[in-house]
Amino acid sequence: MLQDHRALDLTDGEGQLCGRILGDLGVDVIRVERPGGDDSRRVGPFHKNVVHPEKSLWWYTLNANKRGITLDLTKRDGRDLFKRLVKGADFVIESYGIGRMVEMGLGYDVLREVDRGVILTSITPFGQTGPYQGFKATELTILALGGFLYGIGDRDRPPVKPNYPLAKIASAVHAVGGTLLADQYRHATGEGQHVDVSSQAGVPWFTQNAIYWWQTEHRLLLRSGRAFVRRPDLDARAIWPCKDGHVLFQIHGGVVGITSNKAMARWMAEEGFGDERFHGFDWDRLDLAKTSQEELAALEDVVAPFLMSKTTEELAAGAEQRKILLGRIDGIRSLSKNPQLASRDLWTSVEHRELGASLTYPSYFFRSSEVSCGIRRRAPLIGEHNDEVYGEIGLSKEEILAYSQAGVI
Amino acid sequence: MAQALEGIKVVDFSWVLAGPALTRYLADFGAEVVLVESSGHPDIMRTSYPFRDDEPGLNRSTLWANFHSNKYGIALDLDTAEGIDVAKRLVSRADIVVENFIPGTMDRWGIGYGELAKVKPDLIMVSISLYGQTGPYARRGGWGSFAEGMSGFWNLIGWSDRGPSSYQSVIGDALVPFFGLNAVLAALDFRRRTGKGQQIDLSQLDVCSYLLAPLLQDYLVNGVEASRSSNRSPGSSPHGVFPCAGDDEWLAIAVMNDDEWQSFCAAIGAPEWRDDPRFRTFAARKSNEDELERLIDARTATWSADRLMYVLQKAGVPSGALRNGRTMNSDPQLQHREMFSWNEHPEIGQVSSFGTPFRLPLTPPTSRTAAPCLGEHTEWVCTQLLGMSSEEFIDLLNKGVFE
Repeated sequence: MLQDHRALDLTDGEGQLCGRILGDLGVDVIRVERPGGDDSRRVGPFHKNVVHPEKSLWWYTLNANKRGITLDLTKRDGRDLFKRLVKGADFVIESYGIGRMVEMGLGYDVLREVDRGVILTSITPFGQTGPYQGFKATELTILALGGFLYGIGDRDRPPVKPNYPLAKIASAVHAVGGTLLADQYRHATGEGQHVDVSSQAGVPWFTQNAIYWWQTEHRLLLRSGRAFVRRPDLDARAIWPCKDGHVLFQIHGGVVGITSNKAMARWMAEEGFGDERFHGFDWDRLDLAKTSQEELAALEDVVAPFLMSKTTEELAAGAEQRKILLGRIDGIRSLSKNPQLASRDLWTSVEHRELGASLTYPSYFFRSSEVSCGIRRRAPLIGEHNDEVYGEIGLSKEEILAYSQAGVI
Repeated sequence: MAQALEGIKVVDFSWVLAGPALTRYLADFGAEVVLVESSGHPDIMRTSYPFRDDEPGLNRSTLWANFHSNKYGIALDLDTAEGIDVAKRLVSRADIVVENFIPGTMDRWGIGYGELAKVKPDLIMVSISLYGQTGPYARRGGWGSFAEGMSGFWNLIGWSDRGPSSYQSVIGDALVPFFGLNAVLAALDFRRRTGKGQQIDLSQLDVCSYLLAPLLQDYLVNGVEASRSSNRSPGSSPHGVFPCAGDDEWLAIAVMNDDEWQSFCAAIGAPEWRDDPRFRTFAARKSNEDELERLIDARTATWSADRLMYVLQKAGVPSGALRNGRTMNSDPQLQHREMFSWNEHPEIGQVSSFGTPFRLPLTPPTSRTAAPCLGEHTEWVCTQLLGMSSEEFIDLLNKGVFE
């Protein structure tokens, strides 16, 4: 969709997803690495568990749909070449620490002199300015300061993190939005700008109910094990163990929820679960604004053994048939067999000739009635497109060779 | 100040979270967003906690208000022919339509993409759903959490020796709107160059699966299935969340290398740990991690989380105090980023809206108005934006079209 746009991608780690998404949207993304390859290639897991810069699985995913060149930005010649690349580019995206681009002589002011329309997008843990400017950060500390960690886990232990770099991944997704908003303005005026993305500031988007409970009622939402906090004084069980794993279910209020509750109670009755008191309960009377913790827990205690008696598959199938609001918690392995994803052709096989193998990739993040956003190319090998890209800015074969021998390329 | 989306018009049929958040960003950056609602079937978030003064009411949820600031609100009964006609008139002057009903709902009303494209051929229509517009699960109802669960996300959250943990938040519902923003901005560019609109079919399950792809590859290629990992990290030790002075106060600490370890010991007042054979090297710390964490727990418990964070940061050790619903409001960095803007709401007074994660110096987001009361701008939208005569407006009003 964004044909005719070019991005120079200087990001590392999860920030590389920004360029990947731009690439999916049709931008010609050039991943610029230091000679020998970036450190992001050293992040595991690796293909067949072989630790090698051309075998990182995160590298593959985050750099598909990009071309790759090597360039030493710490050398003067390298910076000059970079500026020549900037002339033909629309976006420069980077995730160095604050001030690093300026130190290298490639700050926004310098890039703007090269091309006043260029959009520089910088992804940092806290943004370019402010009291945490000098802070060191990791995924864990960003999730902490962004307010997400506090709400996860059991009350008898500290809060606990997800086994996924959610804050930094989200930040890369946000960076695309900032870049493309700036691009809208650039098309209207010809002016670029410096887009300043803060990973910390992206995290509270995941946990706004906690903010609004505090702002409105001065109440904290505490972590609650496998329950969801309906009100600060009412935990509703949300994750339930079943025969072979866990499922998602809640006793709900509201019209939709009560219909679901009743259907669950009927299913339990059919199978001989639940006592007279449970089956005599008037679901229409249930108002989670007023229900006490004891009242709700008494109902949940009756539902629990029923869910425990069935497998995820049985529960999901039964719930589907009976219009019960119940979800499954699957493992990662189920993704490749999920019938919904299969019917939408989410997964596609991409050949890695250098590995003698094909790997499974998602072919889109949305489907369009007009445009295909599939994978056009696998992630680049180290310097794979040096000849092609430097040729495009007018370097001869001899010049490329000379730069290469000088360690610039 | 200039606006990035000046002149862009959006008709917003969305509800709950994923759609409203997307249109909020569009509104923040200058688009004109008209939110179409019905009093017969109000958004369930309008009736969700927390309410101002703990008093339920359609216009009283502050969380709902956050997702709808900067929008105009019109009430329209889409079960009437006249209501559908007004909706189409709105769409005919719009660039973008956003909706997140169960797939098939808009078609049933006769305002699916096919019909709306007849009214506005270059329309960009964003249809957000749990599982996608097509496929065997397309018409299943449910919550965002169901897509998170099905994709495997939920299995990654919690302690490795316990089942998956709940989180008082959303993942898919917070990511999907930003993916939607990316897609819709690309679609605007595509339209600028080709004159063509499109329908964007965006699903939570697709987005969650897209993001988990490296983990799936690891399983398919190496047979390793990622699961919960508690707070430790394979490349870092200590790495965890430690108790601090006060009630439920915590500090996240991530020591990434031996230099940081040396600084950490000095800064926390335990220089003797530096050369302790149990902890001196990364490998030693890993094999004695239980003991190390117990010792750190005892130290951190005497510090305030913020104080220790600043001390460790000064020593060059990554650390972060755990913010919660209260302290996110007072975090100095979030304040510096002006994360909250406040507007006066006619019924519930001052309400805040939550800011964007990126700053655009030439085209900053603006905060113009609080979220609308249900139907607050119905007359204004009909007469001013659609140019409807007073007679027609009153006639439709009497027929109950604006309910």
